Amino acid sequence: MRPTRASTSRRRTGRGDERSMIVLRLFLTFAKIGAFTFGGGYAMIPLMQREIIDTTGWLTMKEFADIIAIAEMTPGPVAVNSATYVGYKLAGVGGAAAATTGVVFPSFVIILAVAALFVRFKDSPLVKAATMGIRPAVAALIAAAALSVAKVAFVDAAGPIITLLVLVAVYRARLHPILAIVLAGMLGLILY
Amino acid sequence: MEKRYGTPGGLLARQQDEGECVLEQTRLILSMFVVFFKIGAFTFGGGYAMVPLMQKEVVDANGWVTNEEFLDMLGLAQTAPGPIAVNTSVFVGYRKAGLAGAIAAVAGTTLPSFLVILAIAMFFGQLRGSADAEAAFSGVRPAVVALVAGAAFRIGRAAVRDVCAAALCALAFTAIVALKVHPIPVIVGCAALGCVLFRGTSATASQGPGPSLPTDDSRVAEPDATDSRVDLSQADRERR
Repeated sequence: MRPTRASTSRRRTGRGDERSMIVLRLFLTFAKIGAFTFGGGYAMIPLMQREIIDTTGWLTMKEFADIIAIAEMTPGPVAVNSATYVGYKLAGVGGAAAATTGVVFPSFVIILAVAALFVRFKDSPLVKAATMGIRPAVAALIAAAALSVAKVAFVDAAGPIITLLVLVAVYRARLHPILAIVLAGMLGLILY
Repeated sequence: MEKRYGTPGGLLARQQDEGECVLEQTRLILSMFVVFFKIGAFTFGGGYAMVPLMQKEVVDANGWVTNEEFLDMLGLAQTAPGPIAVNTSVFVGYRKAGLAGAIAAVAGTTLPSFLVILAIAMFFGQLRGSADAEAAFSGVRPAVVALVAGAAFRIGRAAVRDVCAAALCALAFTAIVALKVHPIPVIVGCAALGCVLFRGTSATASQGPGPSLPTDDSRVAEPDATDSRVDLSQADRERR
């Protein structure tokens, strides 16, 4: 993939069409992702993985894992953060704007529609039943995504150990996730 | 108590305080933007962390919605697709100030992270190549595995309460891992199956999509969330 800074001048000289195509594709792809992210920001991860890594090859799995880490440490929903980053990487500020707008757009429309049309959306028995079906699926999808990340994250024996340490620290000892990431980074500096 | 989510006048009509002049309305829209910008800027680590702060600002400090309405919106925000913070802000914004309010609220919520990530991305590009950064990230990636797996476990534990749910979970997992099915058909399929399997479940089932406390979910609670007034039992008791 071309480095983002070096490509700035190339972009201005006649690559406009290509760039608009990418910007549009970013918007559409992230709209697709945003439309099916049920149950919280992490639910976006399996969708992003499929669309952005497998289908389009816009990111490698390693870069994806790094983005999740950064998105964790910065303010805002992880879904929005990841979209912004990927968008920027692919098409600069315009791409970032397109991706971010895209991921937010479907929910914006849906919530507005529900709010404006008096629809008692969340209380409808059908919606409740559907949601009770979606939630276990989301858990499974996220678990599968964790496995995929593990494939690139575990380069040696240290990997699973770090994972275990973080699991215990965050979920038993109530360590803040940001601290856990920072500490893991420091550990990485020492080990590698 | 009757719940009115929209106005007959249409999308652009203001919910409350009709008869205010344009300047007042503009002031409201701007202050919405500012408040949501503040919320968006000061919550780290995911949408659920925003909820207590949002509640404090939107219900207590500004009185744009009542606590019950907020909990209601929260429930909707969790059921509908998209980041919960975005959904809630759209709803609150629309409820108080129509379409313009919704836009201002979403813009405020997403702008801080947008700007921060942009800044990081611009400078991070130079760091990427360095051996140090790569070493640090090699340590970070297993941590990411832990966080993602932890989220899966948290959601799974809350969502898989009976055999049907367990079966769906296993089905989805097999589809994704072994059969390489795209997530979207998996989600749609499980939603459809859910409609069939869970049809008879009572509306007050603990597994239902009512508003859930931020501390229940995949986030470690923020230290200042302890004074959160999100009250699950109160919302459940309110049968309208």
